[in-house]
Amino acid sequence: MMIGMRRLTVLGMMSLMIFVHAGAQASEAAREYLEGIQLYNQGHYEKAATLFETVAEKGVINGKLYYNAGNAWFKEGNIGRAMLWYERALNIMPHDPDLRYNHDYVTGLLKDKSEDKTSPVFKVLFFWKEMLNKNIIRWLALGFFLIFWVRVVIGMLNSGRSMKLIDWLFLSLALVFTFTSFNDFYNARFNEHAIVLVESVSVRSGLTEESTELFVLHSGTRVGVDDELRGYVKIRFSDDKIGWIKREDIEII
Amino acid sequence: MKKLIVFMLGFLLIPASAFAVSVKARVDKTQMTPDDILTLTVSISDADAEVDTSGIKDFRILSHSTGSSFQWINGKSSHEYTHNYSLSPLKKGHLIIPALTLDDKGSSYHTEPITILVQDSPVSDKDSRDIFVQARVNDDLPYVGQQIVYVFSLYYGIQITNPSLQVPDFKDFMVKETDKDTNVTKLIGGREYNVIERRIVLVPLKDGTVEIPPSVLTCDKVVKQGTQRRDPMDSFFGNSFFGRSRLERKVLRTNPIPIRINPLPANPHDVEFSGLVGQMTLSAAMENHDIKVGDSTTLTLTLDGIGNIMDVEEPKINVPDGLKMYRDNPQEDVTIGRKGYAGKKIFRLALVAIKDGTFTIPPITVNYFDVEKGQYQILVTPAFELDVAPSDQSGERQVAPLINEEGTQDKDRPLRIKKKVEYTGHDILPLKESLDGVENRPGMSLAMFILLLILPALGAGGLKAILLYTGRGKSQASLMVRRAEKALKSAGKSGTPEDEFLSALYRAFISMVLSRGGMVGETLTTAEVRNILTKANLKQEDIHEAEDLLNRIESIRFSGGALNDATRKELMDKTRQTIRRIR
Repeated sequence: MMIGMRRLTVLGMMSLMIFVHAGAQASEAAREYLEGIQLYNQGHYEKAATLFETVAEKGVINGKLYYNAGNAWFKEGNIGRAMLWYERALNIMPHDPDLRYNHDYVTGLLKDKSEDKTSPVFKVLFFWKEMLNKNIIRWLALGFFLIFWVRVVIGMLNSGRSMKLIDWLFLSLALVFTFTSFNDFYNARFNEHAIVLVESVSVRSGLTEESTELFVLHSGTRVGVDDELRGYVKIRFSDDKIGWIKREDIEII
Repeated sequence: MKKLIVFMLGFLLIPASAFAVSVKARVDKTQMTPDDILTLTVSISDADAEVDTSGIKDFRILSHSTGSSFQWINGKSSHEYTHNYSLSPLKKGHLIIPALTLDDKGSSYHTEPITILVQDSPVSDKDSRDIFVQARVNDDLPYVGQQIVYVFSLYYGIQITNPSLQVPDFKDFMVKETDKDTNVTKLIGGREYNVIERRIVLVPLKDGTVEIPPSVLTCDKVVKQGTQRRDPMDSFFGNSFFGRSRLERKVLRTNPIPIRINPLPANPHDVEFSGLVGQMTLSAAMENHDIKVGDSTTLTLTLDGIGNIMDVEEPKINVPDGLKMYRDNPQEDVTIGRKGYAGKKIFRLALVAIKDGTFTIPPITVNYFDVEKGQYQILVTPAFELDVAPSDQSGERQVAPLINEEGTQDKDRPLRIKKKVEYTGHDILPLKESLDGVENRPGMSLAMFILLLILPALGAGGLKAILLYTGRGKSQASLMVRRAEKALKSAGKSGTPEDEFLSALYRAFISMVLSRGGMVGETLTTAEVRNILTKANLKQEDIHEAEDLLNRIESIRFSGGALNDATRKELMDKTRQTIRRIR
């Protein structure tokens, strides 16, 4: 009995310490965040951007925080980092109107014209990917599956009746959204993108500075990341524009 | 009394003026040979007067006929009496038909004298002047930018057809527009001609001497064959349609017209030249001089005159701070005249007061080139005072634009402008300052998603296992449903022997009925079927159908009667339908 009580006390103290530590970290992040806003409003954009990034490095994943970091870097004149944080924010809140406006505005200032050749047919066929953000798609998948299973259970309890058309409909919707969600998870894990951070960078045919310059990209341009080797990254600007650049010239979104 | 007399006299004078007598003498040709016959027609309107032909000395009068006609035009009636004379020349040379005198009720009227050239050689088409063309401009010394009117005239005293006109390309001019052709009748040298005129407005593009090339008209002249005698029926039967006339192709050219174009002198004024060349006036009016904040008044500028008025831009107007100006679409009322385009262009501007006070709209000026004076002229409007009183409404008032969406003014509504909103500056939107920006919202992880995905499935599977494990009645019912479905599927297979088919139908039916009762078994009587289905709250008609089906299956099954394909299909459908209802 005594041993049990002691264990409980130790567990309680550990929980309290974790809670206190987490609370202290949260309050510090909040302080830095507010200070960042204050510095931004005073025109100290670089300091503000650094503070927002510091908060993000503490593990805070928040679209508004990333948006603010993007704003601060833009005001500082760093379009590359501004685009990086706007892109990160778009992954979390893709339909936020302020974010979309600022992202579009900064996109308009980029020197490199996007060569995104996503087929409009694809966009029409998978229209929900354009309309809904990733979290909503995941919750829709779970919701439709839940409804489907509830109906299955009711069927089992109700003389073992077989599936009806509506059951098939719920199952189909659940599968569509589940497939989309897994596709998003896959892209996030294996289909990485990055933003060019330096003012101008030569994309070369090999992993040395002596390799042939294939084309030039500029700050803020979004590229796909295919491979990483010996401090170089193989990037893909479009289907026919692939090459190697130094790892430090880009940052993964 | 005096007024009454004046009124009565005035009244009596009206018919006199309305029915004023006019006389006219015309001939069918002005050049002829000594063998030709000349037709002289003397017409007098609204009076049947005698013609004194004693003055005609150079011709012998061969015949004389009279006629009359009645016309009702625009509510007015008129009589015209005509005297036709056939004349034969007595000699060659320039013969004269003198002014003829007509006497009517004590009044004398006189025609104009007519000169006729009589010569031996046949008269050429050109000389006969049955048909001829002319071209002219209203000003052959214009300035650059000044509108001039090129007039092409076709005169014809005979019948013509298929006319076709080729005007020059006017390469040194800007051709503004071709007006509609006009058609009039003119008396020239005693001969009546139909005249068709085409007017083209030309704007000289550069200074110097240029020559407008000839216009070319082609047409077919209708030449009467046979007698030259004028017959009243000629107008009908004397045409080519009835084969008594032939067509002669004619090509007529106008003379080239030399034009000297003067350059515009240098603008001596400080006011910018508006580009207007012509003769202009400028007027301005303000609708209301006392308004309140938020209200509007309309400032109207009217440019009136001759020239390129349709090209003029709105004059520069300096609106003081405190007023907002909204433009209506300019209104044009321009027509082509003898000196080119003439008319007016009206600019309407809605001035909306956005704060109170007294505002002065300074004079508006237009600098144009006056072609008559040959110098630049400055048109100036007066200055306008506008008193703006504070609004009745407290606080800031939304200023209502005053011109409608199409930019035109409605009569029944105040003017209202709606413009597409355009960006006037560019910048990013501000920070998101709410504290939730620091909350950690990582979103759903893959592991969590998979877990949530499989949880309901696991729950359903667990429930199924429990049901099977506990062996509760509900699972017996489902067992019987599956057995019924299996039996029905077996019966539906083609080539199933008859006894197996009937047995499968029976099994399917009984299994489904038993499932509703939560029971298992192999056979049921009709009474038991009724009992189970009644407890299951089935409709009576469905129960009757189920009983009938059972009786029918058993009857065929045990009687051993043969089943044809149609009966087999019908029985299969019936069983399917009944099972669906029981379920």
